[in-house]
Amino acid sequence: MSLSGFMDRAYGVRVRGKKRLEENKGEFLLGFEDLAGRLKERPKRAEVEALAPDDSGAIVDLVVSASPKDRREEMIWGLLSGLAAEKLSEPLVIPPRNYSGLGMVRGTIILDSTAQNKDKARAEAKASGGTGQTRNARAHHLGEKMVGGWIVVRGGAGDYLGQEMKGGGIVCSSCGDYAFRNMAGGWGVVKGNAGNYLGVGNSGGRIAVKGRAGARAGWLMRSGKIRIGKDAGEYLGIMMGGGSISVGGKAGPRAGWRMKGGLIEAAGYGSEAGDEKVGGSILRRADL
Amino acid sequence: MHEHMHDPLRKIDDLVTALEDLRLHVGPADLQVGDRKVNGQLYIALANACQRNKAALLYGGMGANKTTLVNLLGSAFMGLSFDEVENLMITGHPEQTEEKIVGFIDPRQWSCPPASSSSPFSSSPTSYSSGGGAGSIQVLWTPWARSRWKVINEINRFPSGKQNLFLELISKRKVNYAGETLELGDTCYFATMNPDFSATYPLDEALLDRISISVPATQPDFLASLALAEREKEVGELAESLPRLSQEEFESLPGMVASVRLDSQVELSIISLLRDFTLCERAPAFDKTLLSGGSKPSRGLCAGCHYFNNPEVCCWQTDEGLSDRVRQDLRSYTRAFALLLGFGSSEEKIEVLRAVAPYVIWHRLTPNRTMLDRPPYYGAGRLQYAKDLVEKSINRTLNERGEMNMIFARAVDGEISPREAMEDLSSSDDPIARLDYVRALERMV
Repeated sequence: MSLSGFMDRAYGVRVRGKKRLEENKGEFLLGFEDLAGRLKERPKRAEVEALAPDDSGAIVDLVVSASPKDRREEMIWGLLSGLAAEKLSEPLVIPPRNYSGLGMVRGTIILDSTAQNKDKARAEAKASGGTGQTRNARAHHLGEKMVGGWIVVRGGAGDYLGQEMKGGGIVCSSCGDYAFRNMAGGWGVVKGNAGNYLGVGNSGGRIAVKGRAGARAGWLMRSGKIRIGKDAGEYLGIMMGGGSISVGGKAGPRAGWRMKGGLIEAAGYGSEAGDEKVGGSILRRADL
Repeated sequence: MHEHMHDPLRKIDDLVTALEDLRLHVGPADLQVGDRKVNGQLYIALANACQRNKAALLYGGMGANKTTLVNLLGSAFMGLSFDEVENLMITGHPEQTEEKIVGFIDPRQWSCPPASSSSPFSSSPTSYSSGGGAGSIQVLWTPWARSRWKVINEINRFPSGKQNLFLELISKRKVNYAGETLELGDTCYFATMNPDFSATYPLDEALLDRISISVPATQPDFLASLALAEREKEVGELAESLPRLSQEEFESLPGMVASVRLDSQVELSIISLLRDFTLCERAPAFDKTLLSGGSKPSRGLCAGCHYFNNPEVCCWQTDEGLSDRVRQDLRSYTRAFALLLGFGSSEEKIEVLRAVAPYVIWHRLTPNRTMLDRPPYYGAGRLQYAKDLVEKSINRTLNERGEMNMIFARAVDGEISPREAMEDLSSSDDPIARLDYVRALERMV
């Protein structure tokens, strides 16, 4: 049987065609849970972007109304918060949550745990049978992998602040461990104290901590700058290969242990400073 | 011989009228086929009764007139009394065994002398032994196994293992027990099923695929309840007044269904409908029926796909593809409905396909949860969801796919070169053009 004849009989004389499908993506999104349900186990930014609404208001609503349940959903929410900030001309003000501003390219996020939010959290905790006391939990992974834009944390940040960031800037009052780990670019300002392992493995970027830093700041860093306003913990710049660390106060014991390059400058050092050092310089400010 | 045969279709019309007049089935006219409105439960059961070796599932809550309707039709189509048909039925429960369902070994064969062809044992009307030769085991097949009108009542009350028995039975059309085989012949299969209760078991996907059509049975509405209140006598008693088809008329129905010709438009719409549901750019060989486990549209398979979230495309909206059985079922039920309603034109048959297709496919599909949860489905309107997808597919085939189909057809017929056709089709992003036609043309180059 001739296929043309078959088609002729099926269509008669009214053959018309539309070559492209209508594109109405995003219009069916019911909420954050729905968005998360449509994504794979390890969603990429482009996949979240493809599903997220184009309208800035809609995407902000999605971010604000979301309640991520697990790490995967937190990462999706984080990507979404970055996308929302990119679409807004004014800063996006949201309560801090894990992975806020994940992979953000531009825009500004202000992470603000306002009194209103605290009251709400307290009320929710009470309603669910809790004591009504909010847990002083800090959000982790803030500004992770960000490429551009600003994140201002009104309050303390948790661990992994600005991890793997390539650009942009973060300001916070204090931070937990592993802040700015594997940082390749951008800048971070900590107005108070930083935890342990600040700027581990950095290959670029600038970090300024106004207060103290914990142990092993600048561990394995290859490039970039770290400024610590007050004292630094033990093993400052351990095994670093490049970049510079400046400490306003005194560095703890074994600063520059096995360092291969770069510069450490501090007002004073603890015991065994520069032990087993291969290269680089350890300077006392008074000697300059 | 045909001189004595009345028109079975007229008898079926009389049966429909009698069922309503006697208040034996008073469902609403909820199925629109072209400009006709009929009761879906009744007409789908009738369409199934006109065919052989197809299984219809009536799905609904208790007392929705599922089993009674099927038994009433059995009574009319098989020329039996209502009680006789009821006795043929098997009902699901966890203790139901293969012996009770299909047959058991006749214990008398070991206590009696070897049966001769004239022995009262083998000639007994109740003993349908299949053992013919000496030494063969004699099996007493149950009336249900021997009947050509098989009703499986409350199929989801059978445990999963027992459900597999029906799977084998419907697909092989024969039943084996103790090494003996009973050829079932051309049979009408009906099953009824309740929604998920504590004592029910989920139906296996393979069994669901072998169920050709499924229709929800609803409780009588206000007017129907009023009408039922007028029923004075027992169902069995009233059933005696129903018109009955002769054996010859019953036998003639499949031939009449087969004689209904399906036009190119209908055939094309059926094939395109199947491909719309089955093609998947990310599945092995673009075949969604090969997907398993976590690789399903509902588990994130479609994230980032060009077609994902596009309301015009069906592929991402259901987890399952459709098997070729669906094509056969769509063809045969479209024919049966066209016959029952007296529809002859191509346009009318397309309307029949639009009406019938959702009932053929909805039980075989798991809709996208996001889409199903939103209005107007609210998580429960699976059939309506299937109807909307069918509508989209058929409309797209008839209205939007003309040009690409003609290009492909001309290339297949050698009127234009495959390369030229591929170039023309390259601007089309229709899944059938991209995943079916272009691949076929590539093989032709």
